[in-house]
Amino acid sequence: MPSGTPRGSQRPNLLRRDRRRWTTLLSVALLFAVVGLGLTQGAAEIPVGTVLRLFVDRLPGISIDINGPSTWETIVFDIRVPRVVAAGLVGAALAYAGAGYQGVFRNPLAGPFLLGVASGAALGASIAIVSPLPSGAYGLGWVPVFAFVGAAITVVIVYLLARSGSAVDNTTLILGGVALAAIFSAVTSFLLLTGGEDTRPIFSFLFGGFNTASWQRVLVALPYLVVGAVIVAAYARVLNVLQLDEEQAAQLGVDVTRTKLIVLGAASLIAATAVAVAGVIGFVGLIIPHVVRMFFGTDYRSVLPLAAVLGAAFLIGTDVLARTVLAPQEVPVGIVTAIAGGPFFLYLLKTRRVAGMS
Amino acid sequence: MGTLQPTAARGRLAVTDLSVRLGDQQVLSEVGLEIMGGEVVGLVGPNGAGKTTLVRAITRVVDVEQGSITIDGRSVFGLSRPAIARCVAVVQQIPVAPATLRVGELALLGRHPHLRLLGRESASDLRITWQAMERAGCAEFAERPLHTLSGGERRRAFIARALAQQPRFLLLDEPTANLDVDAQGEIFELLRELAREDVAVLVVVHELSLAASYCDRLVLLADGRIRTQGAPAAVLTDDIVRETYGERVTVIRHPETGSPLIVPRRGKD
Repeated sequence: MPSGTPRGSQRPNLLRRDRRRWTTLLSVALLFAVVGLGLTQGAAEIPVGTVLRLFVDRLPGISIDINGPSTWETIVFDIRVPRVVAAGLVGAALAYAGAGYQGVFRNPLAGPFLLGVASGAALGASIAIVSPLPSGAYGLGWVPVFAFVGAAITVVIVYLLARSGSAVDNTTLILGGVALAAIFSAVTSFLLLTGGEDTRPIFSFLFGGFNTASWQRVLVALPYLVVGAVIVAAYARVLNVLQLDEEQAAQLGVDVTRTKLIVLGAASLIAATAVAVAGVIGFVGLIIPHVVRMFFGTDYRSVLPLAAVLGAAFLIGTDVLARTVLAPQEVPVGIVTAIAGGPFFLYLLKTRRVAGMS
Repeated sequence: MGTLQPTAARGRLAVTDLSVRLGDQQVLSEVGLEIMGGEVVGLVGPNGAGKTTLVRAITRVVDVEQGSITIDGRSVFGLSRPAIARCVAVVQQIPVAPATLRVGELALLGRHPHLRLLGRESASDLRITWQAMERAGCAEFAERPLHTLSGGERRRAFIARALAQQPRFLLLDEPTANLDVDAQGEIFELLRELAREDVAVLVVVHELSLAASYCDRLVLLADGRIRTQGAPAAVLTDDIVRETYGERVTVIRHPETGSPLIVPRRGKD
């Protein structure tokens, strides 16, 4: 039946490995450029050369002339590096979790906060803020701990709601998440209105930000992020099969319910950790995975790592904007992500097809 | 039915006393059939007879009320999903896939049941996928995304994915719907070729004449029950066809091959 089929060396590479290589390089280069911005820009503008010298000076056995005020070293290492690392990790985590959610739901509206992760976390944080608990716990403060627990409880409730027999219904999962989010937001609003003076931190949590970023927080969050990411990554190829639909995936040998449970659980762990570190930062987890699929195709083995790299670059970049546009005042980064990312995404929507969602 | 004895070389898929209920609808009742490696079996019957549900039940994507389904004597209910997918492949009637997925990427998904969770496609997986695309006649447009394909090209892409599974049992749900008459013939020639390699083919067909000329046996399903099964000429008799499809339908003979041709007769204006 076939005629004129490509043979031997003329066959194009089905895995598109060559293509993946340069897109990865390009994305990593972009990330480095943005990290450079993050370290040099701010209230004090420090030249790139000086920042590089500061890093070289830190290497064991090397000591060079910094050629600038001594406060710069403190600014770079105690303020900017942890902040850039935190923004990068959170951006990567949100975009990665978002890609995982979109992979499971095959729904363009899916994002890391879909199952009520954000509202559960916000309620948890609000309870911690208005309660008489001391401010410190596990090097994090009770706020992130409560936020994490709130997010985790919400996801478990939504999952139990949607489970019937051995199957988990996507629509019930999504609607359950929406309904729980509405209830939790109402309770959070109530706490905001009745909590008096103590409630201002709730606002800063709801908008998200990195002004309290510290090494300690990053290090506490890291294990959860790594565990979640490794689990989702193991299922990357299975997510490719799941893009067909659940029936075809089952006929190709995928245990659909188990895959959903594992990937959603791991992605929710990542999202909840990100929220505990930086509050609720919308948009990144929704938009970045779409952008990745628009430009780099639908293979989740590329989509997941590229979403992480570009999510990191995007959030580091918007955080730079957040602390420079109205300097010395800071704009909450969640506002900047929406205002900077929104028009860009609308432009892409208008000019390109949303890839990978049938 | 049930007279065929399994041999060591030929695969045997047997459905016995199968009933399926969806909601409060009894979709299949006490269905029994067998397909053997090397034969093309046509599953025919009016719309709503339960043909698609039967295909779905065999691959365990709908719950079965009672009955057994065995592959070479082993119950599918005791087999893992990958184990089933390594020997049974399905081409759905209207399969969903992301619009921007490329034909080659789609076909490669057929290798999934043969890979471990952390495994990646080897050179041999790629070779098998290319062979599947060449046989299904879609290798020349392997690089094209699905949303640019015609109905027939799209069908070939999904058949390639099924062939990449290297199945011993191939189930196709109306693979020739919406195809022109020559393309229909091409698909069935491919199915016959697969049968010569001892693949067992079960194909849901609406075009009874097509089924009669290409299938070794036909299974006629009506209202969820097996109406009759056997050689095409024995199944597609004037009486049975009218009883199943209505008085308007009539059976004539192909002038060269003598195979039954089923056509509706226009009523009086």
